[in-house]
Amino acid sequence: MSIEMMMDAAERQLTAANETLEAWKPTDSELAGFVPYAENAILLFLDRQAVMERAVERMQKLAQLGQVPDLLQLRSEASRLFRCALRPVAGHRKLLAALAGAGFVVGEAERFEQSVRDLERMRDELRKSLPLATCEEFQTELSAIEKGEFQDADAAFAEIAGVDVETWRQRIAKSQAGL
Amino acid sequence: MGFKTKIHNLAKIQIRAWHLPDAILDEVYLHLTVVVPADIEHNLIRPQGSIHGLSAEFVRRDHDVMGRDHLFEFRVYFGDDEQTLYVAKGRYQILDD
Repeated sequence: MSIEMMMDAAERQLTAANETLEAWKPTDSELAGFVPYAENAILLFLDRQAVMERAVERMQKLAQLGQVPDLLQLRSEASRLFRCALRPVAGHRKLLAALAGAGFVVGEAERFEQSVRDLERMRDELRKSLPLATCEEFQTELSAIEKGEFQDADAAFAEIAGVDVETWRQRIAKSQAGL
Repeated sequence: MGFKTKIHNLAKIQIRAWHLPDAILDEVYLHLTVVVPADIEHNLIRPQGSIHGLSAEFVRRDHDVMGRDHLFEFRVYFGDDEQTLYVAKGRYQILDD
């Protein structure tokens, strides 16, 4: 299975769950009805850990076997997948806080927070453990540095934007002033 | 220490091919030339086994398209002069909520 197919399959699984959760929007007067919803939402979220563990294991194996032609792509796909997995967190926390404020107890709320921490840890560890480049890529790029094949950022970005360097600098000065 | 940022032709071709909105292109430039050099420790990571290369990963929110983020990761190197950052290659993805 290619990286794209593996990531797409995992993302479809996560996105479908996200959409289901996001579609349910009871009114304030139905707050009590939120409790089973929140519990179901948490149980669905807890499943993400298993999905992501499988995805991480597969990514690490591919990288170890040297079967990934573009390791930056793999790293990028991994980041996208974790963002997808963690997307519901803010919404869930808001819901749990509203329920707690109204005196409702939601089972598994602590496990939810633990699962968020576990997923974030898994993401951070993967970012550190997935290789950044093949040995050949490192050698090629270090050689390019020695040969002086790199261009000043101003000139490079001016070219990308299709303007001269002075125009680019003026544009960036305006952009910085507006930040 | 003030770092100067240099870009490889491959990275330049990649960035051009991404057809970024102007505001996002400006932010990519500012991240690589201002934000990263100002705080190397928090903006670059060195994955295990990577003796030379470092990763600069960042996300930029699109202010023109609601719920859209732009995710970037660049492979960068320190120069021997310890004053230059070399940007060799990048990856880019659009993330929609």
